[in-house]
Amino acid sequence: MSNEISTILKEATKDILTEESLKAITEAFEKKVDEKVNLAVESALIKQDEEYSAKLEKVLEAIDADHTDKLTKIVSKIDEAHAAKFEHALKTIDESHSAKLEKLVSRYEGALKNEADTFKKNIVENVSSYLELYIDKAIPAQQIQEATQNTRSRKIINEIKRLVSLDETFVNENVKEALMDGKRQIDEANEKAATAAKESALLLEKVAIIERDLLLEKKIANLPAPKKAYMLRMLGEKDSKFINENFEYASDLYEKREEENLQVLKESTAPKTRGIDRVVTEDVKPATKSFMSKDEDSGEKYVAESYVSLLKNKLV
Amino acid sequence: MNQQKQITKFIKHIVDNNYSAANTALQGIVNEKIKARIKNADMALTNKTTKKS
Repeated sequence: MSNEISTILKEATKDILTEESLKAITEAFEKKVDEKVNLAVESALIKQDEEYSAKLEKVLEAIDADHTDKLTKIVSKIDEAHAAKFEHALKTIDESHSAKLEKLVSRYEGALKNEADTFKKNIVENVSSYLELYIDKAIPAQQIQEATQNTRSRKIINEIKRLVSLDETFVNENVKEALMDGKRQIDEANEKAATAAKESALLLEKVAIIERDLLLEKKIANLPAPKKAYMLRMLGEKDSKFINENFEYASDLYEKREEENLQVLKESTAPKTRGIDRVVTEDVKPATKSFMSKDEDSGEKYVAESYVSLLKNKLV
Repeated sequence: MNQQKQITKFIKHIVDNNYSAANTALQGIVNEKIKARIKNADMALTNKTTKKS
């Protein structure tokens, strides 16, 4: 460009100007042009900047507005979705928890009621038992019984008083003597009754003895004297019942012993009479008599002992 | 009044720290119990007398 200007100036001035002047003019011109260009460029740039800034601001505003709208929409949509989900979740949790809580409440109420009832029953029973024991210890049953008896007796006495129409003073002063007299009479009557009972017992004993003697006499009346004596010795001290029961037995026993004694006597006399014709019966009688006599009581003793032993065996 | 109810009342008074009322209730319970014992003794005495007669 500087070459173009120097060329133009050279041609215009026709070599009037020197190379140096041309150069200076060219440089000055170029300098000025540069300044102007720079100014224009700066101005254009500033203007462009301003325009672009304005546009950018508009664009940014539009983008912001758009983004804001979109964000608002997104947020609102998210909010709605989340709110719905949250609401649903809350509803589900509420329902589930409510049902669980209801079950829990009913169960605990039931348990509480049952346990409370049992506890209440137990504590009431325990308190009742404790009070019973305490009353037992503090007021014995015997005391209560005595008190009851006293009350009852008092009631009965009052009733008797009312029926007899006697007041306490009258009873104390006038009836006391009669009561004492009555007691004395009762005591005397009791004593008499006791004496009579004693006498009656003695009489009964005597009657029993007489009856026994009579019975024995009657039974032995027709017996021979030795047997009679034997029976008297055996049954003399026994009662009527015993005599009735054992008379026949004693009699049989006597007969048996008698026969045995006869047999013994016969045997004892056998060697002496061997080969001699003698009537045995004649010797037997005295021997029997002497055996049964009171002076020689060995046989009697034997009979008595055997009889006693037999009786003992029978009684045992 | 039933004795169990009386005892329940007595315990309730104690729980409520109302010792005056508890004392009254306790006296009532003890009186009832002693009355029952006296009644039983009286009945036993009556039976005894009836048997004897």
